[in-house]
Amino acid sequence: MTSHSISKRTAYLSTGGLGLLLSACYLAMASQLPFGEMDAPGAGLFPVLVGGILGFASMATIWEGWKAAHTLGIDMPVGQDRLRLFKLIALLALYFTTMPWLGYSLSSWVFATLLMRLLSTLPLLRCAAYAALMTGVIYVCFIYFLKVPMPTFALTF
Amino acid sequence: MDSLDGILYGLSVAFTFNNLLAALVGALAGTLIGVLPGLGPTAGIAMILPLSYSLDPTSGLIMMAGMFYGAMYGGSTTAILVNMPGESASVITCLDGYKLTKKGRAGAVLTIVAAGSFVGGVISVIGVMLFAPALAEVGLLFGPAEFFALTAGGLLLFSRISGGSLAAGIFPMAIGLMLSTVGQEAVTGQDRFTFGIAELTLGVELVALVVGLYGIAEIMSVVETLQKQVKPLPVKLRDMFPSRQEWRRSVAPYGRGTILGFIFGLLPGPSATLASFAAYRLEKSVSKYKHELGEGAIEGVAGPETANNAAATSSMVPLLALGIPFGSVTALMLAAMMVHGVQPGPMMMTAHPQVFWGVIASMLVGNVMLVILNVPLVSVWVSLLRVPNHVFLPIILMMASIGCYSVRNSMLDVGMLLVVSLIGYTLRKLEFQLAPMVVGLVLGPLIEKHLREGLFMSLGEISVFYTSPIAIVIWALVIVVLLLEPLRQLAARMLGIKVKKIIPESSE
Repeated sequence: MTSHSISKRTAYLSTGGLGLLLSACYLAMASQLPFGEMDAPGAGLFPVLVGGILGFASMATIWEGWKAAHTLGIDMPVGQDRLRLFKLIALLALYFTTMPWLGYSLSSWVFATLLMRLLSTLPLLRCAAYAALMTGVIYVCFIYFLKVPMPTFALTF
Repeated sequence: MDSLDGILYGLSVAFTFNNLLAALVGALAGTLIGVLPGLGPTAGIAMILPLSYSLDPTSGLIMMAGMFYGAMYGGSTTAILVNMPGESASVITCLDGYKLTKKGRAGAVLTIVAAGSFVGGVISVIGVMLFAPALAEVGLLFGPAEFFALTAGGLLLFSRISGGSLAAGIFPMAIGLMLSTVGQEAVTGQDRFTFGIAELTLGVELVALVVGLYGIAEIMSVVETLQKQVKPLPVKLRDMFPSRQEWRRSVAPYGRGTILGFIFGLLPGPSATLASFAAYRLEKSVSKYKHELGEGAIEGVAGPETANNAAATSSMVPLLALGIPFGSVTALMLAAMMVHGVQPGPMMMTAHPQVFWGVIASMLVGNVMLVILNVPLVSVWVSLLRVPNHVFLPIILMMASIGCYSVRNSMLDVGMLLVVSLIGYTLRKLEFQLAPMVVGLVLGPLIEKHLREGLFMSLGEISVFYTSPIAIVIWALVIVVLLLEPLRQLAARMLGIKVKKIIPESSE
């Protein structure tokens, strides 16, 4: 295992643990649903079965984590790669959060500009120009011609 | 209507202007999706799913089917030219395809692949034509118990065969089943796990899940490894002609790949991927040139690529004849049919013959289109590989948000994209399979429906699920396949017998 990886054992044990917790909460909620009779099953029957399957799957994950060799690792990004990934996630969060307020086109233009800047060495102004072109083409194709009803800002743009 | 009448009727449907256009758009988009990294057939089809709602069901499904086998064609291009598979079914093609490229045979290999994909696709369509109606006849004998066995057993098998360890398959499957229970329950209208959010009463949106898991999570991986990308060398048209020996050596792998691919397409699992791996193994066992495999042998490309296209085509059989999707792409097609009010299954052939036969016949047309698109236009597809990431990634992400929002005009679905993509990225890192989650989400309501119908009709008698002869056969097959791997391990441990792994490490 290198400094670039996390232990597979820890990852699987954590995932399985989270899964068990999830299945417990899910089963607790499923038990509130009407179970019905065997000849007229209610809405709760299937979720209870699914909760059981999730519990089993989580235990299988824990078991595999427990049996995994300590040396096994899962590669994770580091340095610039990790930073770039985190920035992408932040940009996506910003994009999806601002879309209802700024409208699809404006938020897409801002997002595309910032993403191009992140992925290239182009100057910001050129990124903004390219992004405007891309957003424009998508707007014409999908919103103008195909009438996809995306959120809008001012002047229905 | 027998098969011949059916296919003639299907051709009359497929040759209408709208359906020809749908096949062309599907084939083009599929090839593009296959060529571009960061977008596989599943995410690509999910993105156009909302657009297909505005078309009539036949055109929508023809477009989606075209995208599926188009992506199989396109995926091999990147595998051969830059050693980077465009989708999972082309992973094995990298082994020999890229070595042949390094020997200067890239153009010839691409032609061999296009021809093989055509052969596999067309012969498989003939198989679908003959086999689907017969299977639909058998399907008429099925009741809730048999359908329950087929859907629940099929999902179990699918999650196990998808690759990796036991947890890698069943954990995502269980999450998918859990997500399928969110929303208003079909029989009593009871809200389940909606937390008072009105948008959740319609359930978890399949498009958001698929685009997040396959599209955005993949883009995260592309962004993470941005500096390791390889640019392809140009391929000229005059280099596209294979030698006589290359043609001769490809004939037998074409035949073997077609048969193997067709069979794999009928089974639960990531059929195209498994078929290409199995075809490579077969070539390694029986080919006259097996010693060259792995070092740049044409058989290592012709066999797997023929098999994955044949499997992509025949995977339509269980969907059309029984209404059961055995893969994530066919699961999306099932969702599209449901939206259009087309119930796939044994009755589809009589209730919606234009959809049933039209889709099958369109595959013949689509495969011809793909050969025309792929061989002379290969330099265009290759040039797409030179489009920098900072141009196509923002475009894909903007289109993903449109695809996701437009299904039901919900910002919740768009927000879900980010959450799901983070889950998808993490699960991939943990080497979990994503397809069982998608198929679980789609099959969950069907499994619940058949379970409740079975109990209702048998007056609460659970034995109904394991006393019908057909259900017994299905469950027995499921159990045998599920036990193969543990038995292999047991044999290896107790008797010291070494048997090749039955379940692949990963298929995604």
